[in-house]
Amino acid sequence: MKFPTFGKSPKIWNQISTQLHTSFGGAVVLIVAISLLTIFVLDHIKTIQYNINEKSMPDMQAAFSVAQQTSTLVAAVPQLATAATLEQFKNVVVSVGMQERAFESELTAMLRQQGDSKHAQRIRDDGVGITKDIERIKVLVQKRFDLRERNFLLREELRTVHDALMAILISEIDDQMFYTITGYWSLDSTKSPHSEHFSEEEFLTYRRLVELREAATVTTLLLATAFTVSDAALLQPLREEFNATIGLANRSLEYLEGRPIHEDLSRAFSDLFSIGHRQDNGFDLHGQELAVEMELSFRLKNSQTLGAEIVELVEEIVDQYSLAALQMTEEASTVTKTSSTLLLIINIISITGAVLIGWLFVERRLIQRLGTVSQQIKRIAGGNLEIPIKVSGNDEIGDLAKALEVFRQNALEVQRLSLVEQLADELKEMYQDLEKANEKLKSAQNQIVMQEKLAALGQLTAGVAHEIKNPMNFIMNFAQVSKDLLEELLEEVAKTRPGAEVKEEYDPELVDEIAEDLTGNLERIHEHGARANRIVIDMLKMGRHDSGDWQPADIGVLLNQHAVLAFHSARATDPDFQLDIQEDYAPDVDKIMVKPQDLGRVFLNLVTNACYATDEKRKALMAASDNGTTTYQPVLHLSTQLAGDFLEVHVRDNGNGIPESALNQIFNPFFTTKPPDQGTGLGLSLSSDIVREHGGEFRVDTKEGEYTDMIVSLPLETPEELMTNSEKDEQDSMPEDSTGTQDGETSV
Amino acid sequence: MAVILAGTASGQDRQEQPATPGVSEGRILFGQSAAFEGPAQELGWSMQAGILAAFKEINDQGGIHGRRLELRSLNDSYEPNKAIANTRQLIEEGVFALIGAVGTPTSKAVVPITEESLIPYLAPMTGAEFLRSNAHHTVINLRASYHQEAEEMVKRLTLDRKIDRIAILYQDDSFGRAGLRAVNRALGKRKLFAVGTGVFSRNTIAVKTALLDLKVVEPEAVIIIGPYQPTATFIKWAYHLDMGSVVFIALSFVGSNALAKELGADGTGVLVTQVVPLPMGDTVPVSALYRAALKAYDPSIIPGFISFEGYLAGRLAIYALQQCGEKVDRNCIQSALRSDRDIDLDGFILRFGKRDNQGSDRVFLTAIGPDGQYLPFTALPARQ
Repeated sequence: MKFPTFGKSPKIWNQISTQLHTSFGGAVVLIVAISLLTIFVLDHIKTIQYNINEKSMPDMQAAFSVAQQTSTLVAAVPQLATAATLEQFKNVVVSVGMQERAFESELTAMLRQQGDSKHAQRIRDDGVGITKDIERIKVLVQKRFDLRERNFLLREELRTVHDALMAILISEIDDQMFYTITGYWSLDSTKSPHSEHFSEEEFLTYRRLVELREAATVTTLLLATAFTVSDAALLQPLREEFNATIGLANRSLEYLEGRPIHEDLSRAFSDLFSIGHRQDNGFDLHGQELAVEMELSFRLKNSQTLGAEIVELVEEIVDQYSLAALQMTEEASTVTKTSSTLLLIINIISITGAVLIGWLFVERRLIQRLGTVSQQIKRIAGGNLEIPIKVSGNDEIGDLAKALEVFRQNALEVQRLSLVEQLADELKEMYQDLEKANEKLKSAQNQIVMQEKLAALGQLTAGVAHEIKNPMNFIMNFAQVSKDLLEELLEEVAKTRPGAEVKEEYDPELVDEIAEDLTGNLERIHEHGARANRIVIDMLKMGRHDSGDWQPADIGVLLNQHAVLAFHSARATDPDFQLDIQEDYAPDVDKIMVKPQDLGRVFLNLVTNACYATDEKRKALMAASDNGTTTYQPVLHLSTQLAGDFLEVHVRDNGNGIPESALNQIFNPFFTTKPPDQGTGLGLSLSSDIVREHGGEFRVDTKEGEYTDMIVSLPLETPEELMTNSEKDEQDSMPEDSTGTQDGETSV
Repeated sequence: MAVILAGTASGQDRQEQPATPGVSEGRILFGQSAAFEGPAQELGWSMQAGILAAFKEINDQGGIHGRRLELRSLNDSYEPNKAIANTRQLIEEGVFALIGAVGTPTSKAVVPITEESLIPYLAPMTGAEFLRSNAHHTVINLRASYHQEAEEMVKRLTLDRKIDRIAILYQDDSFGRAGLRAVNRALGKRKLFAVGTGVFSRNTIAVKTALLDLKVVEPEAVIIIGPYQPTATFIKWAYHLDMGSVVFIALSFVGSNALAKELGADGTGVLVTQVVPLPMGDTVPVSALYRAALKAYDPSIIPGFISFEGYLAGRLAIYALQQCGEKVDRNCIQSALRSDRDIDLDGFILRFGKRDNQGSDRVFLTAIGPDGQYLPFTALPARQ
């Protein structure tokens, strides 16, 4: 076999590889251009950024850090002053100390970088100022705690001293008053004379005591007030008033000198006065407190101011740098703008190129065609080799397609060869299967046919018996008559014997007459005997398994015989059965070649069906009428007609007809309208087969309720091939059936 | 305690109230802030003894539902500031209820705290009217009010002795002024007024000027509102100034036994209104029970009015806890007591209501007998 081959590779400019390489080359050139541009721009920006990052940023950063730390520190400082307890204060001192150190280190860092600038110098000075303030604030707050503690103790002392003093004074005043009025000092003492206790002196003593009580109250109040004033200037008037009250009190005390109470009172009063007089007295203490508060608030304010100034200075520094940075940034942005325009142009060129390559070349030229090739390969892989492969172009894909087409054609050739072999094998197999099935079918058919034959035989028995009975009656009658005739003859003959008593005269004419009669009788006996014999033989023939021989037969005679059999059969089973058989056979019809036994069975079957149909109708009508009778007369019309090359046999009854619904099924095997015990459903099916065997066909003309005309068309010239085929069948089946036939004949 | 609290907080049954402070499996802890030092200390000690006698009595019987009653006492020296500090401390320590406080100024200072903390404030030893107010939800008063005492005084003086010249001596503080108001009201009800008033400073015995003030108005009776020391001083000096025919009559708060002791022979015939029956009497069964309980607690303590009041306070607390059943909380104390039903503490009948936080309205007028013992007023003839 000669397989197709494919041609040469495409030209170099048509090759995909060349085209791709060119595209890649273009792309590389573009990328290099972009890279160069980018490098240039980046370098420029880097220079600018270096200026910002390495010079401006750290300086700004340092300045910022100082400002930030200053704010933190200055914000933390008031906490020193607001600490409620000494412990809290100590904690704040620690945390402020940390802020301070951080502040100093930031400040140092900044000065190292830009120590020579005017701003930096000022920031340093302010920072030193803040540190000094903080140190002073710490001292002040510590002092304030100290003063508060002493102040508290002093107030407690004041309360105690005042209570003690008042206890003495209240009792003393009570006693003095009571004594002055009553003259009693105590429950135990005796009453003083009236002039003694109700005297000017006692009244004055009472007055001095009351004055002292007032002085005690006033001084205590003045001290208590001094502890609460918020303006140091107010302390001096209080102090003066305090001193004045003490002067009054001392005058009263002087008056009481020599009285027992004087000592206690003097001591209590000096305790009270001491609180306002001694070193660290109440006024001084509070004055110190106020002074501390004042300086504290000044220092706090100062530190805040310095802090604010530092922040301001830092802002100025930052502003300077920002300005510089802004200029550089603008420069960078100009460069960026220019280069971005350039890059945009290059990008547009690249993208357009890529799109064009992608769409025109890759998509249309490669992908689509590759897709086509791929689908065709898939199709081939799926076994479909019939459609030729077609891909345009003369590049590598075109090559591939051409190679594939060559491959496809080769493969198709191979496939076809193998397919033919396969088909042959399959056919052989199928043929064998068919043969087997055919054999099976045939044997089954034979069996069914045999059964039908036996059924038909059973049907015929009654008719046959009648057929035989008729000749037998004749035979018996003629035999009886012959016996009587013979006796008469013997009498006549005896007259002629010697010694015979002659009553009557021998009549030779009578003898001749008797002899003639006898001869006639015997002939009839023989005739009827032969007839009976023929019936039996016919019956035997029907029962035989084979289909009989092809022989010329008069169809009218055959039809008549079987009609009669069928009629008698029906009559035998039902004595009331009536049927008017009218016959009308076409004259001048030659005998045609048939298998009489088979065809006879067809006629028998048709007539039996007609009998059944008419009988059913009659019975139904009788059952339907009031008096059990009917005017319906069953009629069977048998006729033959020539129709071209065919002889049509009509078996027409005026029975119930066939319903249209059943018309299609009547030739189907096992279809029957009869009760289950009366029909096998095979009659018409087999009949149809037999008619077909004869090269004829069945037709049905019917009207439901009116009539049925079964028409069998038989070819006048039976085709030769039919007869040979069936002959062959006959020979095939002969060996099996021969014994059965022998048995049948002997048994009859 | 902490374990119980934590257990409840994380427990499944959240409907349950958190564990009540001071109540545990085996005990219920009460707190007391009273004077155990200073001039009024006699009152604090007596009150405490009475409460502890009642507690010991029930504890010896197995406690209440297996819980022993205990008392944590702190000294406030009759000073409001200290009372406030003590109360805060007791609440913080987790006592179930406060009981047996002594004094009007101290109670006045503490009640806002108890109201805020919703801690029961049981049987303070004071008759001040402000505690008998519906505004207070936590306060349960055992005794009759000063108003009722004053009313009883004036009623008996005017009816039994036909006295209408009545003067008043009062201590210059909230207690004294409360008493003054009470007496003035009782007098006003009878269209009378005080013929004179004397005043003296708190924590002193400087009463003689007041005596002079009252002597000149020639009263037939002087109602004294103050503690026993100045009261006794006043009465002694009054006798000294030939005011023997004057009837002196003091409020229960005076500290009856201390007063009798302080007065000695001068005490005979001095009248004192009481809010509990006579401790040595037998008019009600509870008196004998009290004496037995006190003896069991400390045989050396002589029965007296204040410790009797303390005992009744303890008994009242016990009654309330028994009513609560096994599940004790602060609310059930209130609902158990404010039931509008008579509470019978062995013959001493109390009755609280939804709008009535004072249990007893009884005032007993007593007089000091020649032997320094208190007798029912009716048993003593007028001093000649």
